Amino acid sequence: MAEAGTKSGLGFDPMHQFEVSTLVELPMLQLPYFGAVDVSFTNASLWMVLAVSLASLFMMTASSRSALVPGRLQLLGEMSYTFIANMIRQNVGTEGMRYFPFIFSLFMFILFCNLLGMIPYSFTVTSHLIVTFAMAAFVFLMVTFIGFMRHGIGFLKIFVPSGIPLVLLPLLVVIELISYLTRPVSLSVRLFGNMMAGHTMLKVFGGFVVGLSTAGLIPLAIAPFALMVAFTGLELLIAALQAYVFTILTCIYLNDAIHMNH
Amino acid sequence: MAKDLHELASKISDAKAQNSQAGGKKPAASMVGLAYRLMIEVIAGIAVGGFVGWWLDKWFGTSPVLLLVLLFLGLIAGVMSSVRTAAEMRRKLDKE
Repeated sequence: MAEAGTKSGLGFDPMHQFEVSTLVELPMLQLPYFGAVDVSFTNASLWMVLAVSLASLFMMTASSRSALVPGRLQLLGEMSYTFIANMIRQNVGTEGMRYFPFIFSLFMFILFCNLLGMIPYSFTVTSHLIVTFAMAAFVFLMVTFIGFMRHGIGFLKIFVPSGIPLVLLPLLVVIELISYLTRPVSLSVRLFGNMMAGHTMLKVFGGFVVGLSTAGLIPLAIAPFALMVAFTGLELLIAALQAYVFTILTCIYLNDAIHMNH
Repeated sequence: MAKDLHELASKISDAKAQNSQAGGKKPAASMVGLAYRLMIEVIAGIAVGGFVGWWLDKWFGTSPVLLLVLLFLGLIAGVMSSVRTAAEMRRKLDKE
């Protein structure tokens, strides 16, 4: 697996799993502001397409046969629906249900990307900062847009804290503005950092196991192997947890935009 | 019949008590996750402040005055939002 990457002293490269490689070459796209853009179909695109199709397939088969006593698949589908619906009702309120389709799609996409990344030899789309930042930036722009649509220019009041002496006000408005602008950054870095760190750690421990066993030190390989099994379980938890965190923060930002309580 | 129902009710309440006990203890991993969240917020504040400062400096040609000012303000903003998040977390933990 490590043949293509640069070999480190251990004989394998834990970062090789994050390399983007072109699968289908497409002609460069000419865009007015960005110039020539490479839009080739890469392994990242492939796993995104897989995540979208599997998530859609899952929800469609889960809801195709709506039995009164649900089977396992239908139960899973209904559980994911109630999970997100309750999350929105608790964090945004009933008017947030208008945005349910978007938030549910967002959750399912991140969850499937994270879980598909756990399959050996697969590619974890969410371990790339540009992917998570694109999603976070979209959420940020959408929430800001909703805020201005609902409150007009009065939405700017969220940058003005109440009960502050007039002298300090300009300073605090700048600080609030920066703190608002940090949202997409912290939202994307959190998901990207968790996924990348976890997968690198798994590869490093996997490398230890392989390296020690090929060197004939199989008893020594037991400890990293046990750790790897444990970390794989933990990574599955993190995959689901980070999808949840991304979604619940989207809900919280949406609530700020709709209700303007800081 | 009534006796059976009573038995079932006590069984359910037992199970509920056990469940809440198991749920009350937070695993250490999720606490590390909370700590990371706060850290990322401070770093994001500094990064955004620095970037906006650098960009405004390029705009007005005042390098490096605005970079330094906004780097500092970004640090304050990061700390402020992470304190806010911590207060939110504590409210949630108290509720549980």
